[in-house]
Amino acid sequence: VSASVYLHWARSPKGFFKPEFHRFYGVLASWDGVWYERIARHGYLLVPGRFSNPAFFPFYPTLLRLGHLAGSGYTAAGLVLSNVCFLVAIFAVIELGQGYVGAERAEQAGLLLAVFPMGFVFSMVYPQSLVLASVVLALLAAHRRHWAWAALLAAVATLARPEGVFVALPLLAAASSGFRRAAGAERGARIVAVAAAPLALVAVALYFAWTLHDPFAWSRAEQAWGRSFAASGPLHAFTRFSAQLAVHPWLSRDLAFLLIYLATLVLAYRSGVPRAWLVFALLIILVPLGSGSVESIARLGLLAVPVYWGLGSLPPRAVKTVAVCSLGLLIGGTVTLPLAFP
Amino acid sequence: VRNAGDKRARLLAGGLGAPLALLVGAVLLVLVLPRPTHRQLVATETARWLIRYRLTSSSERLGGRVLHGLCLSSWFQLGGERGRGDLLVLGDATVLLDVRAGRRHLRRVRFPPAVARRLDLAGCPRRLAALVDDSLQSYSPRFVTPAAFAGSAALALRLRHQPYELILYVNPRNGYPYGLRSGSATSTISLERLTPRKLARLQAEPILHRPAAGAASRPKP
Repeated sequence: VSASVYLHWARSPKGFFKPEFHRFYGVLASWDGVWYERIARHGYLLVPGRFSNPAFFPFYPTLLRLGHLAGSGYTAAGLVLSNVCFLVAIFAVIELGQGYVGAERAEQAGLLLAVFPMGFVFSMVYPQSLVLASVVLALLAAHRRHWAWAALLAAVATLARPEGVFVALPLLAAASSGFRRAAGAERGARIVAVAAAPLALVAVALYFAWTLHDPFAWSRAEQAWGRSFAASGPLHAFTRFSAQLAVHPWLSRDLAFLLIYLATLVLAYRSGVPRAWLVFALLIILVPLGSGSVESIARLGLLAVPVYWGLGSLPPRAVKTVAVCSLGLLIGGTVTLPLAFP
Repeated sequence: VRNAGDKRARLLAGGLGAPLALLVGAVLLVLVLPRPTHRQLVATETARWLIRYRLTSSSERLGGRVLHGLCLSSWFQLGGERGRGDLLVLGDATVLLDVRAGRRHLRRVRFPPAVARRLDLAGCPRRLAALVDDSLQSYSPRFVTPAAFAGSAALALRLRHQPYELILYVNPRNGYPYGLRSGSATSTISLERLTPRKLARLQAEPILHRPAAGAASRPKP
């Protein structure tokens, strides 16, 4: 937020923007934030062959509209929602991590999540912080056998971002542990909790069928945005990288974060994070490569929760160094927001 | 009794509660987010028609006379450079060409408004699709209104277009474009299949084979 205020004062670097500098928080509502606000304001419309808003999932803009109906502005509602969810997510990552990597490492993970270099996205009018909080809270609820809450939170994660559906994997692991010993009613509840995320994905398709008469509106809009997924995509993401880099130099940032994410997952594996979580994280990081580019991996990978537990498992002295460097990069990332989309 | 009560509560919370919560979520989306109107959806169908075709035939009524035209929206190779644009061949032997690579004109065109209006009234598919898309994204409630065109019911799409107003009339059921109006000038349009023969004929137009510099509009002798 401080970096955003600085941008408002300095009106620089201009990049593609100018009007965003008129409000002190303007840069935090830029890029996809404009699209989410547009959905909240006008609803969905699939414009064939052009960038259009069904590429964005509906739950976050629904909350923005509810905020607006309660008397707030769309952007203000988004900023409050994102930052409150981020705060909740930090504590939830610490709480859940204690059972996997121990209290000290979990706290270190929370600290590094708070200053993660790409973490400015969690403060923007983007649904990332809502999804992160929902995913982690869903698993906390599952470990405490509150299956209805787990189902609800898994559904919220999926209705807000398509990657939310992968939460079904750690939920499956949690639900299958002690499944035979559970009573009949609880067994049913566990099954529902695991099915909630895929069901929410179906609900999104049904919603688009109802509003736009096209259940596949999301995938059609994604194609227009240049994101059509193919099995050969991950290979092309690397073979075409140098050509793509010449057009869009910021892809080097995405590649660097891809490598950081993979390295921290190795640390997470060594520190005892359950395998279901690691598979969840790998899916979050690797599935977007199916589009044939590493574009936006730095942002999309933010939802790979074990990354933070992996970082938290570093020795305390290393954690301090990483935290200081991260904070510098976080400020740098925020002030360069007008130049490149996250 | 307490155990049985607990069981029942869990059954309600897990077995029914979660699907109910999902239903509430779906209803929330339906109730809270605005839904596009039927007319807006018809307009998106119009955009779909326009990107499906590359050729339009038109009959323009301008100042009491009727002028037939054929417009091709395509990629063109001009002086070693490739660009996207429109080639319009009119019945009075006028040929208009507007090709751009990104925002840059490959054939520099600054048509006087009367000539630009001819290109617009010819209903060149890509040109028209871009105007429909821009207007759709504006979400203006005035964008689509009921109207009549050539004695039939139609929807009028008021396209965001400077410096004059351009109205596209479409079939109110499937969005198929009927015609255009700009001021007192009107045209009826029809999307056509681009056959190899038609393509060869249009690509043989001399204007496409001239050196890059020069006028883009050429009245034939």
